[in-house]
Amino acid sequence: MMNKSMRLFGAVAMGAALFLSQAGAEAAEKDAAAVEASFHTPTCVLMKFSDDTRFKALESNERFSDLVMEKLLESGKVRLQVQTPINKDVEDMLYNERSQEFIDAKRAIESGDLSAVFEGQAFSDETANTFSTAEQGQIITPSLTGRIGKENEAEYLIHGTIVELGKGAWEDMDFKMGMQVGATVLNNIPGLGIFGSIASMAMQNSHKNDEGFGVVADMRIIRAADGKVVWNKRASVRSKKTKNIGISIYSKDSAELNETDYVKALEKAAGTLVGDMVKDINEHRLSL
Amino acid sequence: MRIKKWIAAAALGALALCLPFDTASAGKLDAYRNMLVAHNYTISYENITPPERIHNRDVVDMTYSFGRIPTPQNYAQKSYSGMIVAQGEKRYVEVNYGGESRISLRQADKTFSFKGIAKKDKVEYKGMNGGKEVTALKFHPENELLYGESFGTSEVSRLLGAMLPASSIPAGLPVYQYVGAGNLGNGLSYEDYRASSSAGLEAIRYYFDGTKLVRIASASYDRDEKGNLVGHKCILKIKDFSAVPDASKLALPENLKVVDHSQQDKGKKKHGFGF
Repeated sequence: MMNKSMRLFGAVAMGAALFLSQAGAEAAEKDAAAVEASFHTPTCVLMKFSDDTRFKALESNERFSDLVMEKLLESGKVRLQVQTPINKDVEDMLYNERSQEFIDAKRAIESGDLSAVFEGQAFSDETANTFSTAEQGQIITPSLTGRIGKENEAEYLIHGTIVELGKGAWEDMDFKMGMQVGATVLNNIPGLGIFGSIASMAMQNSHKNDEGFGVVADMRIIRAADGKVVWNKRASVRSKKTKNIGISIYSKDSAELNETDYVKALEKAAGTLVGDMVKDINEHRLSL
Repeated sequence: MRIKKWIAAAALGALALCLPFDTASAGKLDAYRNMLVAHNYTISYENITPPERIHNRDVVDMTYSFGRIPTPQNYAQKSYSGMIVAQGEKRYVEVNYGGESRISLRQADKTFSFKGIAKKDKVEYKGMNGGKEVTALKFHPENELLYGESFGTSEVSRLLGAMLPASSIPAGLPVYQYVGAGNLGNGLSYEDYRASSSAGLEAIRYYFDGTKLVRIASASYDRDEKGNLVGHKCILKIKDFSAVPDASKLALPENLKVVDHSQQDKGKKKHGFGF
């Protein structure tokens, strides 16, 4: 009787041990898969940025694309399948993909069959008109994005637009505010008398004018398989340098803007866009 | 007996065909057309199809841009919402880009342009130069006679202006002809309009939920500088279109101080995009 109980107990214990080891192996496999997923670096290809400004002759988009490529490589957050931007005009490619659709739609409208146009896929809320106007959640012609992704073995396309580029001059309001606060303090320090008033007036009349280049640029990440824009951000930056500064009898003018300042502005914009992308990835607002 | 039943069924079927079922008719847009003509309405919309940016290297068409509220640089190629309120000679036109809006207010023979900056739950109004002053300019009715009524941006002005009767559309601008109407499987009905001009071909579909206008979609086709046929689409989601003007919008915000240039103005615009 005792032997039978012991044998029964042994069998149960062995079964439990087998079950637990199996469950443990499955859990270990799942953990490994989760770790692998968290370390998955998405494969991407950078398309040359579009230039929607008046200054196409400057070819800012080519320089900007190179700067963005550098920042992406430095970030380590994406695996770029091609080490240079793809030098093709994506808007032209999109047009060619859709040109027959435009011809068919125009014919349909002329013949009176408007439902063929308005109730078609191209008119859904999710379908973007162009790359440059595509917003997050919208879809850009999947046949085109899928083809580019397949040709380059990339899961995502990165593209952007230089929306605005300009030279400007503006007063440094922070400097002015600081001077006004200082002037108020000087005016109220007991014992300074007339000297305090003179110094206060000098500070109040101070000014600092900056000039520089401004850049407004978009960057978007498009999932190649279905053409969906999964991320889209805009950077609006200024790269300034002091044009002139005047405090009382002291004044100084700086040199004119030059190409270095222009490149600095582009670099700042590229850094801002890639920095925003990295931040969103790190904070799990962007999952690739 | 069976024959009598068949006759009764046939008679019932014939009667059913004559009953006024809910079919789309050209009359649904008339109510909205009348509101626009009477200048008595509140319209609120969202444009979910941001337009491509217009560059100054393109041919500038005065009819395209005159009196329209220009897009701030930071919001180029972004979707936007807007509101238009009219009551007689007063008109409020707002284009809202989320954090910032551009507003034009007409009161009788004066127009004011200012902006609204969203801060937490309220809106702070400022003059176009960022200060508290707003310039009063003279309203020029002849501009609307030449270039059409402005409802904010060029696209919105075109789509809402297309609803106006031919007699209200300035010479040279396209007049949209009724094409047809119908019902859709999702319960909506529609009315279609079409215009063809030197500027290209455009069709507009107005969608109704019952008699309520809920959406306007436009498909336009023209040639680019290379002669290629290019298509554009525009979709407005209509949030409100009623004959009750929102009177709170027709007064200037209290914090703004008016600088009156309306008597000095001789066709020169200052800090505004007037009419």
